[in-house]
Amino acid sequence: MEIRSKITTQEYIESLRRQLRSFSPEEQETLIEEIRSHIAAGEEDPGMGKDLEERRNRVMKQLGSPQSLGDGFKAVYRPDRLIDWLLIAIPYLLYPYLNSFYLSLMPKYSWADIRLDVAIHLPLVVIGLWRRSAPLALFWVTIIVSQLFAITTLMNSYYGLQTIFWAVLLLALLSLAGHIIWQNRHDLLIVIFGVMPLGMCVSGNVLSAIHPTDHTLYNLLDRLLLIAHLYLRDFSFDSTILLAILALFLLPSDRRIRWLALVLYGLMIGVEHAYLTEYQTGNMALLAHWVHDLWVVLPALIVMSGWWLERSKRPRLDFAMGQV
Amino acid sequence: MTNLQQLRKGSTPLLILSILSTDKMYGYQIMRELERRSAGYFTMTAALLYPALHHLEKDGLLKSEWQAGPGRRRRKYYSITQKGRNALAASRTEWRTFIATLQKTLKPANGD
Repeated sequence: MEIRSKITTQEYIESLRRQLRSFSPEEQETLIEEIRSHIAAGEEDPGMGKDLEERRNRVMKQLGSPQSLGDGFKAVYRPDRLIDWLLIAIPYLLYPYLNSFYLSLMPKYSWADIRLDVAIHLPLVVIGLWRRSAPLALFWVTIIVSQLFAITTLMNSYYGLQTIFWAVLLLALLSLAGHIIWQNRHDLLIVIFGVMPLGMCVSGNVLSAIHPTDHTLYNLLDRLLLIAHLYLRDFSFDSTILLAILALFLLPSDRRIRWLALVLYGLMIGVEHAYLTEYQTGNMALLAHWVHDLWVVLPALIVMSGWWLERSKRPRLDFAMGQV
Repeated sequence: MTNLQQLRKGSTPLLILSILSTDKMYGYQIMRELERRSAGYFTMTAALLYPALHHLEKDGLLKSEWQAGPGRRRRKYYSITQKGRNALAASRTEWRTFIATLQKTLKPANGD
């Protein structure tokens, strides 16, 4: 009987080790040592039973499953966040090539790219949910939403009846994003990471319908912003910079670095947005200057507000363990 | 998960900080102390306790150190930090208000 219990303890530790395989061997050992120490303390506690067998059985029963223990540790330390980043970087870099290839196969269907967009990015959203990684799921939801939003609001006549299908998908994805953000409402980093690009996408499309006009010459700031925008876009630096910023957001544990990354992400969204060129022709700004200026700084301002809010509030005790 | 289970789970960090506010302890000791103080009402599995301890430590509310235990085994002792004490004090006030309001609301009206 004692042998069976010993095997059970050993099996538990081995099963836990498998759950912790995304941690480094040193981290695994430290976490497992603490659990071994817990089991030993229970076996030595006379209050747990009259003999070793009874005490061991009771302490094993109170451990909880190795899977939930492993999930709990993973939720705290996010040891596999490099994988999250790779699941963003690799598809992001490959997408333009896949898109060109797909369009070359089907030259008649100029709208085929949105189908490819959904076919590639939707599984990545599912992977993000399966991995319980809010940043991964939110990033890809945002990418699809920005495409679908343009289709359903700006180009609906081009897509005809298809628009209905894309609109339903858009609503479903927005609901999903809202759900993920709500689940992570106590982590302002994740909330802002989700809300900021989605908010800019939605307000951008609303603005395109209103577009306050201002037929005046470019000022210096307009020119500088336009140069930054064109430089990013034309030299394809945007992918490299974006992925570097996302690495800075996903990989470090230090929240100050992650907030800084989010500010840079916000600035990039502001500078990169097509608004800076869409309504500007020649040397004449057709969109009001204040819209341009606000557009560039608004995302960074949203991030800084979140950072200030986090700093000003006291630490919360009701953290949610292992949520998406 | 029922509402009561959610409430219990939500109170985990508060219970841990409260137990550690008097003395430093290792994980198993915290679990047993919680059972003792609540007369067995609050029981916590290791799968809930240890991630919560690590989370609190990561947030700077607890600190830990390994110390020699019986035999060759080491034990990891947790103690509360000043940041943890501040958070505990604020959370205690919040919970007292919540419980008092709940009791007041649940109290049957005259004639019930």
